[in-house]
Amino acid sequence: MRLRSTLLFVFLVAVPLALMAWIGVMLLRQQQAQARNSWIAVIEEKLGAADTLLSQEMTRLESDLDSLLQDTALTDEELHELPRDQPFVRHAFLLNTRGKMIIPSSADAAMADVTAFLRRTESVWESGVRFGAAVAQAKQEPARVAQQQQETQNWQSQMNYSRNSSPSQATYAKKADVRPNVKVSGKTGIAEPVIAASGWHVWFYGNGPQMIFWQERADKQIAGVEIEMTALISLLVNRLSGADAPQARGLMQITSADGKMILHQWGAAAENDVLPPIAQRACSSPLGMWRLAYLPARNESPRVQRAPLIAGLGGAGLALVAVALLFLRESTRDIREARRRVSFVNQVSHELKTPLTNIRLYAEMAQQRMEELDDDTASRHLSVVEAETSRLSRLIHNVLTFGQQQRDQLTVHPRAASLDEVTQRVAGMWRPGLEAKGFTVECTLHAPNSFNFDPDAVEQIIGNLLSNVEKYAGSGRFVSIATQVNEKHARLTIEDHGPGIPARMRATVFAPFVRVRNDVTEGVSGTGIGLSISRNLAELHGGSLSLEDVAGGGSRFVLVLPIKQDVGGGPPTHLL
Amino acid sequence: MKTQSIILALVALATSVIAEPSAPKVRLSADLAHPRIIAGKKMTTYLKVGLTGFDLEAAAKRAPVNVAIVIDKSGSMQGDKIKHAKEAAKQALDRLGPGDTVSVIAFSDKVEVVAPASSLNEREAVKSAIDRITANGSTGLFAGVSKGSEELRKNKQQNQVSRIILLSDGIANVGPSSPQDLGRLGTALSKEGITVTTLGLGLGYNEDLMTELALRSDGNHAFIKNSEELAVIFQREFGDILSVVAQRINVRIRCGDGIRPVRVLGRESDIRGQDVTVTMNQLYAKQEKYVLLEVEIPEGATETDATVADVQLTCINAVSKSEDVITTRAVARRVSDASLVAASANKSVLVDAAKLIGTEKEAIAVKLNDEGKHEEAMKAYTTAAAWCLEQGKLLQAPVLEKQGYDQAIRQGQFKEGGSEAITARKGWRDDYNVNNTQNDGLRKK
Repeated sequence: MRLRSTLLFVFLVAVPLALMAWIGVMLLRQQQAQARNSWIAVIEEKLGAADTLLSQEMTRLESDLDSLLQDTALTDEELHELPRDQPFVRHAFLLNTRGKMIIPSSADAAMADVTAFLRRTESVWESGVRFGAAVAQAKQEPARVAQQQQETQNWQSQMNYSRNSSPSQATYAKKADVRPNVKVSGKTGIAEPVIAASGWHVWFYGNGPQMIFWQERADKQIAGVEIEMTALISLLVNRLSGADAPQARGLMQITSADGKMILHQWGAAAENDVLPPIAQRACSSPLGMWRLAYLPARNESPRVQRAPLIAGLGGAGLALVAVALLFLRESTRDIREARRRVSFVNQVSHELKTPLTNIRLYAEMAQQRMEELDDDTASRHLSVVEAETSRLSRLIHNVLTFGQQQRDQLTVHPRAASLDEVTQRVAGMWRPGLEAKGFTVECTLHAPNSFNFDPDAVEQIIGNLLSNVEKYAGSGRFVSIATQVNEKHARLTIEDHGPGIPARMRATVFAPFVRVRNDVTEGVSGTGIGLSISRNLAELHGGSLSLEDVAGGGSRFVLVLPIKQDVGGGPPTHLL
Repeated sequence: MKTQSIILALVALATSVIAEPSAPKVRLSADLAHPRIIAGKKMTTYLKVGLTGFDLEAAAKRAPVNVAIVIDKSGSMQGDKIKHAKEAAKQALDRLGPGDTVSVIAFSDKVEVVAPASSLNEREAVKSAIDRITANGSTGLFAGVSKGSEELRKNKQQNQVSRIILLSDGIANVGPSSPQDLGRLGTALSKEGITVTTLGLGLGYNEDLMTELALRSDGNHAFIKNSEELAVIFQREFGDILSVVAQRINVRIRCGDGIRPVRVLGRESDIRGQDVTVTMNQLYAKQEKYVLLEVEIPEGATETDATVADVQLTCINAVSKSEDVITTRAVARRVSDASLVAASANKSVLVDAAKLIGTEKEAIAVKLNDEGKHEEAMKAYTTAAAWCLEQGKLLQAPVLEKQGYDQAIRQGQFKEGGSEAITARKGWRDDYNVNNTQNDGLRKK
């Protein structure tokens, strides 16, 4: 009972609550993932905006350098002057149409600045890279130096990894069609572009990337400048710390490709108050050697509004609990009510016992008197009265036993007795009634020895079983009562040839208030507690009451009682 | 003869009267260490091209000043350092006038424009912005200097003195942070006429980085042990800024035929063939800067002149705001008398050369020490100090003897190690910068 109500409670309350909690958690998680995704999308946009700024700056620098080189006469003096005035120029050079360096000339190689320049750019010349429109055409002939090609909207690039220690080199050429054609009018008045192509070259030297800006002239000569990288970084840093740079609650960084060197960082969060980067991207060409990263502030990740969901689910949960409590209160009230009824019935039954005993006593006395007077009719009437009285008394007895059972107060009082004697007595009491209904009663008793059991209880069990036979097995017209005994158990079998008990009912027939047939039309009555009590009583003995299959219909109830010789009564030897 | 001279004097007077409104100019000199050389022998000597700033009269209208004060507000600046820095900066602002521009940038892990470039009409606003600086975080020095230069560019005017004053006490760790990188930044900035003065506070800063930055941009550098000195240093720095008499200085030394320019002592120079070019960002009033060029003069017959070099100085005169071009020439006379050569030697040029050579020698010693070759370093130090002392005695130059003693003291400090060595190294870098650039504006005079 307790277990079942607990299970019921679990199913009605705990399971839905758990289910709701689970759904809530899943919902929250999903929302969180969604919020995080859109947050990261925003951040990626910011990184994109920063990258755009850098690209703009590079485009500007590019056109500055383009016009600078264009305005510079390609003489030794002029190219030598360039780095002196131009913050972005570290060194200038000129390659002839075959890609051979003519400025600085080999004669100048001993000069300190030229030597340093050649040392810095050594790997560039060694890699055999050719600047100029050739880079743009390298797409058609990838066998030359290109190992990997990248294409962005306005850029065609070519990465070549040289054999020597420098990790990588990349050359970028601007597509000719996106270049604003710089034109000069010649003597003939025909406009003629001076610049055929221009672009960047990136390589690594010393502690970081180095860049060259090159420009191919119409005469296929290549003029170029080595970029002053710190000036370039300074320019980009200023752009990124300017007002138009994307603002961040966390920290935005531009770093070297391996992330080890921070070129610049900006944003609202303090450096020691950020989480590892959640989004990063390589800068667009030609700054592909640098990365932009976003480090969110510790408290920045988007918070889902949990309150409404939790309130909703919590409310539903509370309602559920309230309903369950109400239900529990209602049911306990019902149970209490039922208990009160049972105890009322018990009380009444108890009260009925005394007058019934008196009725029986006086009916017996009257019958004796009638037998003496040879009044057959009255005697027969009185025997009916007596039979009905004993039935009523059995009924009351059952009700009282059931009451005890319900209150867990049912006990048995074993004492030494003979099973055969008890069986004989009950069978004797029932035999006239059964025979009157056309039954053949067969008694085969083989358990004469005395052992410990409660004869009253066994009497009640046999009475209940025979009462059932009388009620339900009238069609079989046969009942057999048999006892057997072995060393450990005594066995009492009551078998009839009635309709039997359908297979589906066999499991439940011992439960209280279960009746095989509920139809009152057949004139069969019963309380439905007899078998329940009987089994209970058998089990209190440590025995059992079970239903066995009988071939050819009918039912067979078997009562098994353990033989306990050490309790109460003496050993079976003192009996016969 | 007399009348002739009188006439000449009158003419001179007349021209000077006519030229009277013209502003004073930078004085240019070209002196050889040995104006007389032994004939018939190849000889190496030094050519000193000296530039002396004229005195800025009170009435003269000085060049407008555009200053970016870049303050390190990293965690290590907390306490007295940042307090004194703020006070010093605020006091220094009082020396600027209405035509001047100032901006204040603070950097830690990030860079922050405390006060964007604004004219000194808003002096109080700038001061209260300075007051709001609080120290924490790491040291993004590169971004600080970059931002400072950005603020300077906003208000760029002709003939303006553009100056970043960088104050830092720590090791730069955000952005390019090697001495070479910052040196290159200094070079790039100086091409725009921007000078960076670096003030290293305490023992924690990277003196190589700070001095390279100052050196390459022709700025001042000071090693400040105690933040209380900041107020004085700022005053001196502003004294320098306000006394700029010439900017964008280009010294071109064209060596005569057969003369071989060997090298320039202590300064970045560009030697192409016979041409030697040295640039400086500015010259202060009464400041003397010089370029010491080692030259090789070919042998020649006695009593002949060797035109060692034609020197041309171009600069923007801060008072007249016009470009001044001044030329001079250095000529060596070949003589046969060796004693005459020695007697005519220009002591001051020799002293200056010895000073720079002594500085070079000490640099070698420090480099060895940096490389962990401690014993060799000590040996080199002994050599350097002994050389300086010897030259000091020989030339009767107390300044050289002092240099020798200073080197000996630093040698002792290096030997001791620990914070003594750190102090010595910072002191050395400070001296190194001052000796090579003659930018001694932050020194007690």
